[in-house]
Amino acid sequence: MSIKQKIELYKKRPVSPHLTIYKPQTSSTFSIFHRFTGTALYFSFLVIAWWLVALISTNFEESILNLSSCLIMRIAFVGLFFSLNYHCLNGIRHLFWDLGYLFEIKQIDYSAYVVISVAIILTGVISTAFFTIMKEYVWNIAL
Amino acid sequence: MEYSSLKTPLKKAKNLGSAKSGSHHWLMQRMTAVILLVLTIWFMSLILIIYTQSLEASAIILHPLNILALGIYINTALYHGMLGMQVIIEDYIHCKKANLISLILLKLVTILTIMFFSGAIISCYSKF
Repeated sequence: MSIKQKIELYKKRPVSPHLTIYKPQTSSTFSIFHRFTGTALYFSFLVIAWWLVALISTNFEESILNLSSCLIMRIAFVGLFFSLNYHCLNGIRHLFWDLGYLFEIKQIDYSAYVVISVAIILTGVISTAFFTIMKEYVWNIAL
Repeated sequence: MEYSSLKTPLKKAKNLGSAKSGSHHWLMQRMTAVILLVLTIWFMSLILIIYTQSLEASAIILHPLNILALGIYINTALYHGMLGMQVIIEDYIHCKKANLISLILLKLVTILTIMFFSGAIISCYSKF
């Protein structure tokens, strides 16, 4: 049987609903967001690494620094900072789990609340700092 | 029947080799995670230092140790990300051919980026 025939058979088999009916819970939602932010961060760090290679090899030319003057890039940067904060804070929760703490349901809920609130606050702080730096020191150079 | 080898006959027929160990992957994920936590806090505080002081006053951050920290940070983050993406590829891609090719491409891209980035960081030191 070729691969195409196998795929056709797989599409026809009966499957009971799983993701569409299961109630999303704290543990599962935070876990899948940990995975999402992790993948987003991996690709972002690839881009950042190559951007830094470009910056250094053109001898710190200032036009490469002008990143966040358009809206899409600003949204992308806020997304990057949120992913970084969320993944780091949830990662701390994972490390606690590896040591054997925070396993009760109440503890999971409380630590999840702390993670999401600190992530949002920190994202606001770092984004305003970053965009103020960009505005004061970089946009004037490019213009 | 008695088998003198640790591999079942099916594994020998598939001839793909031993699975080695998974605990190294788990341990490296945790160790790189701890290093990345420290370095993330370091770089966020650098951004806040530039924000609270003017750019000239904060030119103090242009120090060889900060450049080394940037090099270690991006390289460790890429390695940690490679370990995580490996798990994702193994989880979600079922076709064996696509699985293997994606894993090889992932490791190739990550290792190339780490090498080029390390070269750029090292070349920074000649500018001091």
